[in-house]
Amino acid sequence: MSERDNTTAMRVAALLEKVAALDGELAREVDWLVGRYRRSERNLDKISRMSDRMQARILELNDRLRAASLTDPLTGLCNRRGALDALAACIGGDLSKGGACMLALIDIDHFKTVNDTHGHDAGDQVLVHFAARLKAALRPQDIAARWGGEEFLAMLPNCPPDEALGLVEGLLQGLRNQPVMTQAGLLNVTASSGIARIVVGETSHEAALARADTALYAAKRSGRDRCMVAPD
Amino acid sequence: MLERIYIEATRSSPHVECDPASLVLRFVGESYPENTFQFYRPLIAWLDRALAEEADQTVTLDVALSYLNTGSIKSMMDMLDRLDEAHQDGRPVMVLWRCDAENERIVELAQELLEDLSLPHEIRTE
Repeated sequence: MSERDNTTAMRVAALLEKVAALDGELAREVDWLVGRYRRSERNLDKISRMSDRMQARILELNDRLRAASLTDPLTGLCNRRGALDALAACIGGDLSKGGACMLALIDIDHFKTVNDTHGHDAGDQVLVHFAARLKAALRPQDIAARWGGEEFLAMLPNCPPDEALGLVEGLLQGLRNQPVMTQAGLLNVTASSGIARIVVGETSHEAALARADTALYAAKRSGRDRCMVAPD
Repeated sequence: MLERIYIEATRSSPHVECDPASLVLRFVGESYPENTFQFYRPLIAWLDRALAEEADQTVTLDVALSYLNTGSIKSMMDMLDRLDEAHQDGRPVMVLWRCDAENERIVELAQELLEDLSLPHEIRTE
């Protein structure tokens, strides 16, 4: 109890003692008033506790809502907004420590044809399976995002370019060797990729993304189902 | 003479019925009206008059609210205090709180509101 609450309690007790010696009706009146006061205090405590619980719940819901707004509901990967947040953090964090951050844009080949030929449900299943394989191919510290309809972005902080290339090529090789199971049967799926390094000194991700995009385009132009690395 | 009160529910305020024949004060829906105390003042006043009249007939508070803002909780406390005092004075009263079994929070709220009271009450999960 606070100093003030203590004083109030003491004064109430002292008053009750005096009242006990008083006229019956006055005593009853004081008794009634004290009862009201005590009930009021109890209600206030209850309301405070309930309000605290409500606020905690609001904070929890806010966190969940925020996480949902950064997630692609189909694949469970980051969505574009989530990816942009991660990119900003990558630039802010790793590069200042002197590490190299690699970006890989990966685009599923002929995806429109998959949708047109086998239906959108099968197309969605291809995306879901691909997303799982992408996640599995990356290291725990890497971030996989659904960047567009059939386009994915991988961010590899503190990763030597050779290692990044190895990881992506492993992913593409896996696709070649193992068709994807969908409701339309086993589908042969390949992907193309462009890799770029975020160079020390770059203040935003856009230039590096543009380089990765150029490399991706080159991979598509030269036959697809391959990965190309952009020069720094 | 006690009047009948009938308030239709809105998105943020409950359906309210005060029946002078049965002396039942009923709430259904959600309660977070913009001016909460203003909303509840006439209803609490009705309850006071109902408790003052017809000393033999039971006054019943029937609550089926799934969400209450803080002002509504305070207003409920005020009504429950009045009912509890009347009960201690020997007047027949009853509180019925209807909860959706899946709404843990409202079951918890009802239990907390009723725990210190001596009056007859029922928390009914439906």
